[in-house]
Formats: sequence, C-alpha cells, structure tokens
Amino acid sequence: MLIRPEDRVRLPAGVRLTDAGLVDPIRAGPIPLNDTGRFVVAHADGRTVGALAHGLATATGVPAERALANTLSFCAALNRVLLLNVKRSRRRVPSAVVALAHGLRPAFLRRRGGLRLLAAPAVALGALGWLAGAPLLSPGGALLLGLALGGGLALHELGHRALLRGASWCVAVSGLKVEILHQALPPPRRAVVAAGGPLVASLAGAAALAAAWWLAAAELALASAPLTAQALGLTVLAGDGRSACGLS
Amino acid sequence: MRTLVTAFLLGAVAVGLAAAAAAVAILIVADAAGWESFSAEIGSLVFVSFERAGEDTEATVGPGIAVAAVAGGVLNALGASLLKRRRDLLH
Repeated sequence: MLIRPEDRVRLPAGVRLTDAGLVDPIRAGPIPLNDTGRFVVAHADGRTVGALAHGLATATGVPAERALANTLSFCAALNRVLLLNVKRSRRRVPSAVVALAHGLRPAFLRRRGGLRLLAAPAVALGALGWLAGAPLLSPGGALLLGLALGGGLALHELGHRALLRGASWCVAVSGLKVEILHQALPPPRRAVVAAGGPLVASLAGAAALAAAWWLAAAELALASAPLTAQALGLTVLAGDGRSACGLS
Repeated sequence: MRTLVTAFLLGAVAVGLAAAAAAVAILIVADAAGWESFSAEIGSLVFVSFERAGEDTEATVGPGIAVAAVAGGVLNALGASLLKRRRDLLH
C-alpha cells in the first residue's frame, strides 16, 4: 500500500464536494459518492488518513481496523484518478528507494496542482542528465545536458499550458511522469494544444543548435539533442501526436 | 481524411526537424572534433556530407533530409490510419 495512516490528504485546488458529488472542473459531470466516501472527502482538509479513519469509525460505528482499511483503499483510488493529493510523512524512507532496494519497479503517488509541480521532476531529470553526461562530457557540457533535459520537460509542459488560456487545466505528476490535463476542447484547439508542447521544446532545441553552429560549440550541439528529439512527440508513437490527430 | 492529413503533416515536421537537427549536430561535432571527410547517403541520395581539406571544411545537409521528412509523414499517416481503424473496430 502506497498510502500510510500517517500521510495527510487534501482535495486538489478546484476539486470540490457538492450535493451531487465530487466536482472536478476538468471532467464532465459530478462524480457520485456514497456516505462513507462523502465523509472521507468532506474531511480531507490536510488531516491524516488515520484521523479520517478514526472519525469514520466514530461516526458510523464501523470497527476501527475496517474503517482504516476502507479509508486507505478509498484514498488510494481517489489518488489514482487525481481527485486527492497525498502528502507523505517525512520520517519514512522514500518508497521508491525501498522498492529499488528490493529490485522492484517503484510506484508513485499521483499529485495534482499548478505549474509549481513541474519544478521537482524537472530538477530530478536535469540531475539525471548531468550525472549521465558527467563521464562523457566536460563539466560544462554535462551541465548543458542536464539543463536541456530538465528545461525540456518544463518547456514542453509550458508549451501546452500557453495554449490553454480560458480552459480548466492542471499539472499531474507521478514520479518523473508529468502531464497537463485539461477540460474537453473542440478538435481543432485540442490538436493545437497537443502539438504545442513538443513544438515549443523542439524549436528551443533548434535555437540552441543555431547558437551551437554560430559559436562552433560541439557540446552545446550535443546538449540540444534531447530538445530537438521532442519533435518526435508529434508522431502517433507519442500521446501528444495521437491526441493532435484526434486518436485519443 | 482530416486525421490522415494532420498525421502526414505532423509526421513530416517531426521527422524533418529531428533529422535536420541531428545532421547539423553531427556536422558541428565533426568540425570541432577534427573528423575526416565522411558522407551519409543511400545511393545518390545524400543526407549529410562533411569534407575536410587541410584547414578548410565544407558541410552539406543534403536532400535526403527532405525525403526522410516525407517518408516520416507517410509512415505517420499509415500509423494513424491503423490506429483509427482499430479504434473504430473497438467502438
């Protein structure tokens, strides 16, 4: 179980509980909840899952262990569909580290919010790029590679965001996987929004390449590769390309 | 039809941009690293060529890049057609 009783839960900004159910501005229609679900959501204001389960057991007379199990699984289900943010207790060893130590593929909680959520994955990807480039490139070249990878991720998502004026949207993060989700849009605009991310990043790569040509800087040319390669995100091999063609 | 045209255009832009960028990056590295003359070509279709004669160098991005872009567009349109057919079957 990814979520523990000491973790804190909160509804993401924009998601609210109404009489009809849980309303998400990027989804059509309210999501109906039963009484238990409504209790959990109504009290998801930053308190711990354990406190929610205790409150649920007190309010309904359900045994404490069952209330905790139900609350944990319901919070996990809501988190999977980006309707609940979970803030992990800081005392614990990161679950990704534990999973890797046991030879397992790490699973990540999903988090939903604004553009600030881009920072952590961009920095992490940049650090990975720097580490990968360090044995092969000069210190400056490795730094450029890290900047291209981390900056490329941020530019890509900002490209989508820039074309979403007036529409509801959010950033969704799970580990290093970042997406911008938005409300349903008419086909032409949806295609433009989908293509915007890869295009902005790849054009930034083309600009970096032009600078590399002008300066005869080989390492800048190499570092531009992750950016220009994002152009391939326009093909149907990638989610953005499929979305731009109206196939997803 | 709109799906296929969009897929062709996006595929051509994607492959053309990526291939041209790769070619230019290779030429920049070749010049900086002092590589000898080389050429990447299929038959008479040149993608990129680099010639070094003493201190002088000459770099060329050939018409192969444009052909690759068109091929990328065609392949992307084919892929989109297959995905569309599969989606129509499933729904």
